Amino acid sequence: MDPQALKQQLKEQIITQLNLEEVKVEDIADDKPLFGEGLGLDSIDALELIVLLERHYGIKVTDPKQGQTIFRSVNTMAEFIQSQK
Amino acid sequence: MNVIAHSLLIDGSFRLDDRELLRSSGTMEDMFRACYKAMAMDYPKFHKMDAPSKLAVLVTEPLLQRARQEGADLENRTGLLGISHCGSTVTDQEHWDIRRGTGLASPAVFVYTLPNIGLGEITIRHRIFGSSLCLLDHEPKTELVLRSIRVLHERDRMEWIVCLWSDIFADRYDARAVLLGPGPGAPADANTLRTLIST
Amino acid sequence: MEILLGGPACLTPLGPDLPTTLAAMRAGTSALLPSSFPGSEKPVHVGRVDDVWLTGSGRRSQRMIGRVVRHTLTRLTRNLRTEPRTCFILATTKGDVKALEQGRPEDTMLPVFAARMGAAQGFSGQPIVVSSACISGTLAIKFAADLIALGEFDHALVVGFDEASDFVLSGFLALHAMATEGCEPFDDARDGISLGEASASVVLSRDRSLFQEGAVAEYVGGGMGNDANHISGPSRTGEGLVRAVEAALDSAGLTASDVGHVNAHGTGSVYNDGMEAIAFGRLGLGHAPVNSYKGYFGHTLGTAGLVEALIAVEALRQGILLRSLGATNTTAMPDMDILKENRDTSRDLLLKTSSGFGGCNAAVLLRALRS
Repeated sequence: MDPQALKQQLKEQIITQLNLEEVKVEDIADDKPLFGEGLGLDSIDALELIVLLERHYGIKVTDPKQGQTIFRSVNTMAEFIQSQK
Repeated sequence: MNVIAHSLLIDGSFRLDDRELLRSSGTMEDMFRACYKAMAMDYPKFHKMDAPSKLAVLVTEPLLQRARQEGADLENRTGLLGISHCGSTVTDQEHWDIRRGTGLASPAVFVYTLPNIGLGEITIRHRIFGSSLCLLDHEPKTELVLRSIRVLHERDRMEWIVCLWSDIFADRYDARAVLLGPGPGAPADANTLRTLIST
Repeated sequence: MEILLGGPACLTPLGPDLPTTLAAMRAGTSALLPSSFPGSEKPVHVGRVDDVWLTGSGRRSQRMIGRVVRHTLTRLTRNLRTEPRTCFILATTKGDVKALEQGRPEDTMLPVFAARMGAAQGFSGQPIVVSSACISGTLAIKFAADLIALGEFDHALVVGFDEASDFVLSGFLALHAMATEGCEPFDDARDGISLGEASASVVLSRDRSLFQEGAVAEYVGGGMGNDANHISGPSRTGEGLVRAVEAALDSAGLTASDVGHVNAHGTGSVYNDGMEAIAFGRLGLGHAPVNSYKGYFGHTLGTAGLVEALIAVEALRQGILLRSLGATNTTAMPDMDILKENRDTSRDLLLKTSSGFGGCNAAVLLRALRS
């Protein structure tokens, strides 16, 4: 998949999966931090993103600590997904 | 203790004391969103909650705002009593449907599969560190409510108590809450609580 | 007049009753066994109650409860079923959640489950259900004692129950909360929880003559506190637990130095046990020997506080502190006296604590009574 299309799709999936009701796709810049001061996600959201990767992309992340690097931003998520192909 | 304020959120109507704050003929989700907006809550976490927690947070929101105005010590001297019939049943079903359908549970759904999580969400939103108690019964019996209030007030020394009956099953919802405290109001006796909570 | 506990009974993965369970624990036995689980590549360790210990017919849940309630009631001098001013309290998180797995969601409603339990045990009236996540058992002891202290009731039968289910296991797996092997509470290398199941029961009363074999403990205080921080992540400061223990000590007119033994929640999760270490440090409980029983039979959820309190009381009555099974290296918690071996004791004041989802914490102080 084209990287831009993948990122767009990821943003939509993040918003739906995490019930980010007041967030729109255009609010999430590719390099915006998802956790902390960025989107303000928490530990449960990180686990939910692990499920998202498995459900939509067939990628298993067994160590939640890996999530800290994978889920830094939409960019890092997309790179991780591409690297697993 | 006296009844300082009371609220009600039942099938399309949201009331505070004797005022209707909001009426809607939409779905449960529509109604919850409308209540959230009407109270200008600005609390993005709200949207991540399951329906029973949203209901509990919404119906107690005006009471805890009122308690704050009245100078209540929310941090140390405010207790919560939550009673429900269905508890987390709707979320239990959702968790189980996801687990059965995909083989994978959803962490964000699973953490809500307990009847006391709505009370937990209220403590987080309003920074309440005092005593809370989550009970389940077929209906909000005045006797059980009074006994539990006595425990929170006389044994745990909570000066303010929010007492909540909330229930969701399928798309029906029914929540009633009262704020009890030291200010002027009707005494929190069996008659008053029966009228406000049990009927 | 003091509030007493008597007629303790439990059914655990280690045995069909309290003496068998305690004997297995004294011998250092763990009931946590690997079992395969759909959705997990690796086996998960679970403590399960052996069905051969269950008699009669009907739902497994009701038979697990029936066994302990029958035991408790036969240790009384009078028939509690007909005794006036008696309340029946059930502590549980998920009740008969297996009914949901079997396609009967209406049977999982806790008031429905409690009503069936009450009827099956021959009680009239609706039992009170306390369901505050993993503190339910501890909170139910406190609630029962409070109701008696206020004069609302003379006696209370407190029952705890939770079963190991696919419902709960699949959730904890999704949370990456399960230990690689059997859980190791307070150990430096702890990496998660193990699930267990159990039922337990006890009677609280002011009437000493109610207990055939005498009372086993006196209720001296209890407290509850909230973290107000996160619904599933323990507080980083231990705030709610500190408040719960302070309230318990305060209600008893005691200080931390009076506590002879702490039976902690100790789930084996990195954050929970770390939170407890912080809280106990803040409370000045460094002198008190601490253990967790989760390494013996797992986390029994809503019944954990009750079954663990009853075992801890019985151990104190026998003059022993049980080692915290699974805790081998505890260098990360230097300020706690974590029990690495069984130890003799003459102390009698137990502090039992529990912490749960929703950010809730409960503590009770029980004085073990030696016969």
